[in-house]
Amino acid sequence: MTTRDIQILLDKYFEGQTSLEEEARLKQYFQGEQIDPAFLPFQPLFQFFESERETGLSPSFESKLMTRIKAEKQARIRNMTTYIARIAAVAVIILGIAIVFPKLQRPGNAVANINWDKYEPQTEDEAMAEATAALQLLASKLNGSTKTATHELEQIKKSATIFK
Amino acid sequence: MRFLLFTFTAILLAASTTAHAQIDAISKYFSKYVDDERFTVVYISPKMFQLIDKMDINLDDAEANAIKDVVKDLRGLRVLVAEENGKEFYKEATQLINKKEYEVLMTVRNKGEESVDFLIKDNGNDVIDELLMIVGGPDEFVLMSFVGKIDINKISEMAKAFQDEDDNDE
Repeated sequence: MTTRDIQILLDKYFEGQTSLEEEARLKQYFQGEQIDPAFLPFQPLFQFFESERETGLSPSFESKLMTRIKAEKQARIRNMTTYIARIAAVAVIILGIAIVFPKLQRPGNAVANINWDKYEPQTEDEAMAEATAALQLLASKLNGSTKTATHELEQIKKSATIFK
Repeated sequence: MRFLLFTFTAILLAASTTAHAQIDAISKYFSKYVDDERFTVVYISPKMFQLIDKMDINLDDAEANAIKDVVKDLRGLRVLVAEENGKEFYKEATQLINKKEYEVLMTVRNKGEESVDFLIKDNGNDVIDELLMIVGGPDEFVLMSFVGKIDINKISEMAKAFQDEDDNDE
């Protein structure tokens, strides 16, 4: 191949007009020993293409890739557990507040010790009578009167003593 | 995940607030009076109110109807009555109650003889969680706590029904 031919091919190459066959010829030329000093600057380019073409996947590529993927999956699971741990922590804090806070607010917290049941009437008729008496007392007090109060109060105490 | 967290929080908050709302003034502030020999105690449980609600009562007078209307909304009634130291108990009671939690609805004083306080625990609307009445007379003390979803308007209607009745009697 003459220097002139190479010059034409190179010009075509940089214009993007070369065919595959012509490019192969160029590569072959630059792989060779006799390169015109004028074309030396282009040698690394074509040698680079050639060397890159030879670079393939290493035999261990697939196994390396798989270990990477597995490692990533494990990392994800770890993330999820920390997320769950965070939720649990928040839940514990809320639970703690819910339990402790109302207790702090209550002075003399003897609430659970009262056994109200023993003061309860046995039948719903008695209960209704009690409730009625209580509401009558409420109504009379709301009306600002003192005259009926004693009567209703007696009613409450009377029925209260029945099942005492 | 976020949804789970949100639901969990919501349930917890709901649980904690309802647990808080259920506590009545007498259990909270006056538990020491309950087992005191000087006090007469009356209690009606939520379950009993459910039974009362199912009772078939035929009432034709306005008073009884007004009472039934109020009873329907009640979920608990506690009464403490003492026949001595009325004024001292009244003073102690009014001091014990947290005024941030209970709002004074009305205070009635009858010529220095008897004082009556009406306190409510509300949610900012007409339906209140608890109505508390404290009566301090020369020789009697009454503490009443009504718990439930109590409609203040029904209470005032009931009071009015009794007022009308009184007018008719006279």
